[in-house]
Amino acid sequence: CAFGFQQRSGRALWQLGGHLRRLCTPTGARFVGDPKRTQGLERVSQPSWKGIENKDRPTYTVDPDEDFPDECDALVIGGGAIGCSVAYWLSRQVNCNVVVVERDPAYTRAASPLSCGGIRQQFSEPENIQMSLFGSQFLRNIKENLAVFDLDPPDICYAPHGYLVLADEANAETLRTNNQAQRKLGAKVDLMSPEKMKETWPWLNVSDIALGAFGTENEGWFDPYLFLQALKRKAVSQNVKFVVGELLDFEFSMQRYVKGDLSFEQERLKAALVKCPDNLVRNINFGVVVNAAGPWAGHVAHLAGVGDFAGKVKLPVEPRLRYVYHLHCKEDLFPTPLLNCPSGAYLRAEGPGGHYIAGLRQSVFVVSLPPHAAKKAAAATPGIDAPFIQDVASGLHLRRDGFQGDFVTYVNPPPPLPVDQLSESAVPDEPECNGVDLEPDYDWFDKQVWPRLAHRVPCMEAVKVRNAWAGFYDYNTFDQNLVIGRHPFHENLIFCNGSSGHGIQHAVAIGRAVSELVLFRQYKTIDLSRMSFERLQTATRIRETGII
Amino acid sequence: LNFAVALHATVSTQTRRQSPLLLKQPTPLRGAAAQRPGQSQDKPQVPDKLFTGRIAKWVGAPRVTEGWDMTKEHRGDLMRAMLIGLTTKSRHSYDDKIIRKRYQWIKQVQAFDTVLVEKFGVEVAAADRLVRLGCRVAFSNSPNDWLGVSETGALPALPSRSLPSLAIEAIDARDALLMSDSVDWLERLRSLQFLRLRRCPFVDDHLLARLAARCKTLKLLEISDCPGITWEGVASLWPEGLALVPTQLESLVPGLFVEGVDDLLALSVPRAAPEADSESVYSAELAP
Repeated sequence: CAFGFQQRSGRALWQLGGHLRRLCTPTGARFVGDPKRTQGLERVSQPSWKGIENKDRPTYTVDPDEDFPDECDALVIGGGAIGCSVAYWLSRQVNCNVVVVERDPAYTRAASPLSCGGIRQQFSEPENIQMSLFGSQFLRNIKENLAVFDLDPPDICYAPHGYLVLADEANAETLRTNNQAQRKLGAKVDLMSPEKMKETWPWLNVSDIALGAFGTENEGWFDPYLFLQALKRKAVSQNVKFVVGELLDFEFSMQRYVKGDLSFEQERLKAALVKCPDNLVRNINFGVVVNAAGPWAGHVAHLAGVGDFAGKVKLPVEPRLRYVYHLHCKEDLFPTPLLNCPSGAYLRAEGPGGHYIAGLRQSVFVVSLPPHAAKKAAAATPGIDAPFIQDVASGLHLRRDGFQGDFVTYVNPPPPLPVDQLSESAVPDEPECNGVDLEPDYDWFDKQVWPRLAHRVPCMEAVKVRNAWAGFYDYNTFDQNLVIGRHPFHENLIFCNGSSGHGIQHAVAIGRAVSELVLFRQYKTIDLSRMSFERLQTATRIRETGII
Repeated sequence: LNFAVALHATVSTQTRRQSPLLLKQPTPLRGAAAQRPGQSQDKPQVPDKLFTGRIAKWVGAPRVTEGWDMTKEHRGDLMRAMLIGLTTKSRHSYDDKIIRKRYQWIKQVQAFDTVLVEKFGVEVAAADRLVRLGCRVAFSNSPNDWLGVSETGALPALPSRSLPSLAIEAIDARDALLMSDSVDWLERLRSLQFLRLRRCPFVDDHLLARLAARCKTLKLLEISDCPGITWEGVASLWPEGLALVPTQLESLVPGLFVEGVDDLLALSVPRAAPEADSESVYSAELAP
């Protein structure tokens, strides 16, 4: 019903505006193909992404195709981790037609495979903590959840190690409060004093650290590309149709709502115009469309008229570049013999900490030096027990990769404090991003990452950069948190964007939440109503404090 | 064709049922209720006019014994398709169903049960659950007696009430069906010292990580031949876990000496003798 009791604030205001609405679109043109739209009209300002040329909504000739799904119940735009997760949960719970549109099936520029793939519960917002707990429970049982009949169960190379969040004096109180919130929700995170941290990890410099929080359970890192493939494979086995194509535009239909004397007309999203690899444009009629386009969600929202005729508030999601570096750090204090016994046993040293790994086919044994020798050796390099270090003050992330002394590091510069006086795009030290190029910058490592790294882990002054890559964050410029929910004007447009670096760990929970929105019109598992689109209209920031 | 006809016959006789248009006659009162004063048996309320058009035909319809009832053919086809579908095409095999049932049973058994704990105490309740999953358990008062499921499949005699003095000291989980949720039981044991996970099919990195984080009283942990663990799981045992893992490599590889093992050998609980482990795949190969 058009006058239902649901979140109608946006629509109600729009309706009260009445004929004033026409002032918003200069010529009163409303849908694709309406010649009034482009008459004497200056170009609507769009973010200029190189590679996606500016359009002023030309008309397209739609070519029919028998094999192409021209209608579906739910259309998901973007086939990344969040898009595949939405498709998986939707098709799992009900027998509806779900179509996922993904323009790059190789995922060369997608955010999901280029991320570091960590999952942690150390957030300050309860929704984020709950989403991470749900995700970690899902990943723990992933062999059960995403197993497709007759194929091997999926393996995401999950490494169960905790995150260590370091806070200086300014952030110590925030960390304590966050820790209480996390424990209340069931996350197992321990607070550690600098002395305790120095004792556990002697190679860590904690001279300027006041407090640390170490997650003992449900945290770790995994391979995000394998996770994406597992989700996609399971979705395909549940009859989700994956379509290769780029979203060009939406088609609208004029919907007339009448109650008594009042009536108004409104554009309603009807179909998506998709350009297929054979350069032909086809349309997909949908009942509901989910925007899971990741870093380019802002552009997709713009195509739907968000920020234009569907309300003045835009979706503030844009791609931001993050460089990730693969380091090698190893000091040869102990020789590394490889002992091979005739019976098939082998023994090799693992790092200079005096640890050895011995094996006999499937049996695994771990042996170590006597305590006094081990302590002497362990003071230098981070060993196998290195947690995923996150330094809040400097924005440094560091984790171990494999067992040969390799590490992966990146810097996520935090927005400067205080929160309330922050301007939306004035974040210092951000690399320039044009939404297309993914070339890592090695000078950035020398300028931004290496000083922070050498300060935190002294032995990494002599570190060697083996490799680097760059990836996009789907960065929410407003408050760096998820925007999820229906749009107030377009009832059948659902957002799940703007996770700003946490998308891969929240993908499972986001998919479930969106599927509940589609099916039940309310959240059933985790209540994410605070993170709705309306907080952008009322300018209420939900920002993580003390967490990067 | 005979098959189809037989189906039709069953369908038609089964679906012939009394029409709801016929008014129900109330059952007569019997016994004491019938003799109550002031209450006579109600006359059956049969209306004056019955709708006889369709009902008469239905009630008096003859049994279909010969001929082909063309009106029921679609229903017969449906029945036939259903039967064929049941016997030939199935989304999951029966093996899959059996495996799934077993898996659900394991999950149910190893889930933490507060009711059981209230009734029997943590130690005895944990012993009951672990024994059902295939472990053998040794208590502190008699460390040489291992309680486990016998060869005939009988459960051992565990105490039937809560005994606060009892504590589990050792668990021998060879070929047991422990999963990551069973660490909920293991962490609540106040003096668990010896845990042997050998050839456990469901022990994975997650269980090892949980063990390392939660079980603080462990002195000996053996993880051999568990197909689900990887190097990452072993790495999560660092650094406290280093002292836990025994170096059975010494007994298996002749002439090998590994430092730091001697202090691990001084324990009150005797290990289940590895030399006597005839189920090991390698003992046959390595025996001189």
